[in-house]
This record gives sequence, C-alpha cells and structure tokens, in this order.
Amino acid sequence: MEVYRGIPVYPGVVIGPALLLDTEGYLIPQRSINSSEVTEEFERLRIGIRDAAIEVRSNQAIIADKVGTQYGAILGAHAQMIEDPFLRNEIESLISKSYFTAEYALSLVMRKHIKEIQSLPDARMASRAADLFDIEKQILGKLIGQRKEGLNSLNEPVVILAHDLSPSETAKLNTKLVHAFATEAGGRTSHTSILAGALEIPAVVGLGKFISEVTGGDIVIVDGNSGLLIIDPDAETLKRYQKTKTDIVSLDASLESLRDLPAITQDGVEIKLLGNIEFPHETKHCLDKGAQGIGLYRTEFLFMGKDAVPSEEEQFEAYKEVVQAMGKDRPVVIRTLDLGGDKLAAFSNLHTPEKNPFLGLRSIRLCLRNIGLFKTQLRAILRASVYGNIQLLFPMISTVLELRQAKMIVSEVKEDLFEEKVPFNKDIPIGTMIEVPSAAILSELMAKEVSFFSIGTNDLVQYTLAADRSNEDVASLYNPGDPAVLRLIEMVVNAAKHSNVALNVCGEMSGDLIYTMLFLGLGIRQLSVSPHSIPEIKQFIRMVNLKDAERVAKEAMRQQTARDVNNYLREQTRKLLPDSLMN
Amino acid sequence: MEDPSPKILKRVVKIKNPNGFHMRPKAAFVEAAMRFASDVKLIWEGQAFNGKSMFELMLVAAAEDSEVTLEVFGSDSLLALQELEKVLAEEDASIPS
Repeated sequence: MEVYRGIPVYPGVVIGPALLLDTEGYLIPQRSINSSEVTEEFERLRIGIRDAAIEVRSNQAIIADKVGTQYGAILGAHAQMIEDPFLRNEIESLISKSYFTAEYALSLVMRKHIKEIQSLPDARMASRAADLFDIEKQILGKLIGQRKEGLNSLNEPVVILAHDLSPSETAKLNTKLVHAFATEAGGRTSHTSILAGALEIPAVVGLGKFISEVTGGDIVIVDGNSGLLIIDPDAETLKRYQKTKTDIVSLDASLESLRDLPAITQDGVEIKLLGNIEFPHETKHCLDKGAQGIGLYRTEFLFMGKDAVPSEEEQFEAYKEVVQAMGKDRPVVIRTLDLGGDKLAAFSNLHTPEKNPFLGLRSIRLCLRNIGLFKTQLRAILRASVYGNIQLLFPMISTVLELRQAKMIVSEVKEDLFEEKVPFNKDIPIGTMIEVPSAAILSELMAKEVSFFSIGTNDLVQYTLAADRSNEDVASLYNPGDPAVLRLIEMVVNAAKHSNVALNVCGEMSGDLIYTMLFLGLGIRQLSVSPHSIPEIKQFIRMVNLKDAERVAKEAMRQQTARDVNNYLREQTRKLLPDSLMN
Repeated sequence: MEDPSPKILKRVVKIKNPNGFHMRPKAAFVEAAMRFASDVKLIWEGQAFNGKSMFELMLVAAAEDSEVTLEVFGSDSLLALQELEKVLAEEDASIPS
C-alpha cells in the first residue's frame, strides 16, 4: 500500500481499478495479462511485428529511392531485426512464463539487448543501440495502435491516473466510466481542477511522482475530501473507506434539505448564490443544488477539444439550452470567450506561440483582434437572450478603451440583428470582469460603462501577485488572502456601491468558506461558485450574523500578510463551523 | 542433392569491409543465411553467435582485417558455406532493397 498526499479539488471517495494515461493521452498499457490470454497476446505480437516490418520495408524503398540504396539498407537491417525469430521467441517466452503483456515483454527484451550493445568496447558498434530504440518504438507503436487505447475506448468504470490532464482531455472524460482522477501535476485553481468540479467527480491533483509506482488495473482509492491517493490499499484501509463512502452520502442528504431555503444571514440579509458552469448540462446540477441563477457560464469550453470554432448555430443552441433550463427569471451570465494561456493548446490556428501567454493576446484581446469570431459569439448570445434573463460579461478587460470597444461591437451586432429582423433583448445587461489589477484600480471609471461587475478572483490574484498559479515553484505567492488582493476587492466593492452597479464575485475564492464572512462584511451580496459548494456555503451563511461579518472584515483588512489574513479568517470561521465541515 | 551425412563445416574468413562488419553487411549476411536450411554460426573472439539472428550479430564488433570463423551445419551446408563466405569477404556487402 502506498499513500500519496495532494490537493483535493472535488470531494468524494472512489475505489476502483487504475487506468494510466501517458503524456500524449494514450493509455499506458498494463504490464500483465491473465494466464488465459497468452495465445491472444502471441497473436498481437505476431501482428505487431508483421505490421512494423511492413512499414519499415516500405520506408526502406522510399529512402532507397530518394537518397540511395545504401541508406535504404539500414532500414532493411531494421526490418530484419524486427522479424528476427529469436527476438520473437524471447518475447513470447516472457509472455508465457511471466504473463507480461506483449508491450512490456518487448520493452524488457529490448532493454536487455540495448544494454549488451552499449557495453561493446567498439564505440561505433555501441552506438548502434540507437537502432534498437528505434526498432522498439516501431513495434510498440503497432502494438499500442492495435489497442487504440484512447480514452474513448473505455468500457468499464475506472480511476484515471496521469502526470497531468489538459483541460480539453478533462472535458472529454466520460464520467459514466471515469469515476475519479488523480494527477502528479496541477494546483487547486488550474483549469483541470475547475473542470473536475464541473464533471462532479472526485479528484486530487499535485500529488508528485507516483505513476511509476502503479500498474494499470491496480485497485486505488481517490479521496477527494482529504486529497489522498492510495495505491493498492490493505484490507483495513479498504474497509474504512467503504464506510466513509456511506457517511458522505448521508452528509449530502442533510445538505440537500437546504436546497429550497434562502441563503439568509441570522439578521435577515439575503445573499444571492449562483452557480459557475462550463457545460449546458450542468444547469441541472445547479438547480438541484439550489442555485438562483448562473453567475458565470465559461463559454470557452464550447471551443475546447474541438478542431474548428463552433458555428453560430451550435453556440446559439448551447446558450439557449442553458437559459431555457434556468427559466425566464433566473439570471444567466454568459462570459464571452476567455481563451488564453494554458487553454489555448487546442486553438493554435488562431494564435501564434507567445513568450508570455498570460500577458499576451488572450481572452477579450483575442476577440478584439478576431472580430469575426467575436461577432459570431455575440450574435449567438443575443439571439438566445429572448429566451430568458441573459447577461453579457466581458473577460480580462484591462482598460476603459477596451471595454468601450467591446461594447461598440455589441452595438454593431445588435444593429445587424435589428436589420435582419432577428429578435434579441435590446436591453441586455452588459458587465465586465474585474480580474486585472488595472480594472480594479479604475473600477470607479469602469462602473460608468457597465451595469454589473464580476470579480474574477483567480486571475486577479495571479495578476496582482505576478505569480503563475500553475507553477509550483511560485504557487505559494498565489494567495487569495493577500492584503493586496483584499484591498483591490474593497476598492471594487466601494466603486460598485457609489455607482449603483451590481457586484458578483466568482472564482475559487468565492467558494472557499474562510472568505465568506470577509465578503459579506465588505458588502458583497452575491457569490457565484461551483454548484457543488452551494449547499455548504448556504448552510454557513445561515449561521452568520452580518454585524459579526463586518467586524471580521474590518479586522482582516488590518492584517499585513496573507498568512495572518488566512489564519485570522480560518479561526473566525471555525468558531461557527464544526471542523468536519471545513477543508 | 542433399548431403546424406552432414558434418560441421568451418572456414576462417577475413573481414574486408573498411568499416568492419557493420550493420549493412550483417543484414546482407543474415538475409543470405536465412536462405539455407543449415544452422549458421559466426565465431568471433571465442564466442559463437547465431548467424540467422540480426540481434545476435549486432554484438559482433569485428573490425576490418580481423578474422571470424564461419561454422555451418546441416543438409545444405556446403552450398551455404560457399555462399556465406562470399558475403563475408565482400568489401561492401548490402542487401538489395
């Protein structure tokens, strides 16, 4: 049994067989087979070897043709090695004696030969080891290709283990079969973690190296409550976790009773709780958890994991689905495309590589440079606005001019729609994210341009402290409790109050209970969080007295370091909440 | 025309290739050896290597002008010996592509 500690990103406990994913998104093959599968494995090996040899020989002909027979002959030698019956015998004997998979047996045999060659005294001969690596790759490629072990070929429930998962890989996970995941890399606010919340499966990230210690098919436990990954648990641990699973179900049930109650403080102040979503199907989850609307619909997930930009129609259908699911009155805040930095991988055709993507052409900047793309999205949002209470939100605004430009494009799209006699809500509320320090500092001016603000805490923290939230070396600087962040938030709250502009807070910070009293005390009356945290936050708000929250906020604002702020807030939160409910 | 009582046939051969017995001549040798029913061995520095396995021959690091012993045993050994000796002694043996 091995226990690894990481960062919990979605609660719950899952016990199941492990499935390993390599860096290219292929499943890492298992090491062993059942004794009944030996013949089948021999056949896989035979076909793998045959196909690899065919490919190498056809390359031989091409190269001989292009640059000369003697070069082609090298590949001829490779093909000979691939077809070497002695190689096949060696591999087969490992398969039948040790029940290894063809892949694993191949790599063991090749490793042995490579070592032998490398130990030759003749340096030139020793360097031929490179040929063996190549040969191994050829056969392995065919063996893995046979299985086509992409994530789409799953057929039984598993726990995914990987070094890292890209947001688009995460988005494509089939949650019917993928019951949990755990990764070596990543932090609490990486987009993969945010997506884990959206998928509603227990997940732990930032576990450090563990992949080499686990084999596909091993039983593992992902404990999304405590942030643990347990490989090959002993009987006692297994039993304990089976009991934990039952306990969680009953806690969820007790929180569910809160669904239809308002989030109202002890002294009668109502706080609006909305849900953050990435996909239309999450609206159901939001409603189940008692969300009063969608406070942040991250539309970029519609663009991710796809080869082409989604059409206006495709986008329209998605936005319509969300707004119709939420009903006529509940607000649905749709944030325009916020692609950038780490999310851009799947989008390389729109974007040239940048030295510093987080400070580069991303999000609203990308949209203002690709007006066609932006207008398509705005048309889809405006068209969907007739079905309910849609509000439009711009991400990453950093100057007043940018905000005006974005608004001007909305006006143009409105005019187009009007001329085409396409119905839309001409009074659609427009808001801006406050997630760049410049926007927070100028919030007084920004307020004159919009009808609402939404503070995006993840980016605001990152940009204020100039710390990349996914870089583990500087991640400790990234702290939402930093006094600099709190002061910016206070500025925005005051600007919103003076100008009578609605204010929302989204981002992970809004879902973290230790900041709830601070927010309430500062005067924030609306939070948008991952739907799964709504019941918990609601339960807490119902215990808080606003007078106390104001006192707590005042005291927190007096602290000088993030650590002091967090310690103080944690202590104050603990006074109201039993430990078991805090993370 | 099978030899009714096969014996082990041996021949010492000098490597002529200026690069030694490297990949291409080895490949040509294996290719040729595979055409015969006889067992084919190459003895180099006192160690025997299977002449039909490219993997084993990879370990033969015989340089130009060094000597290897060709050892053939089987029903077509005489023919094999003649043919394989030719391949080994060739200055720039290569398998046809």
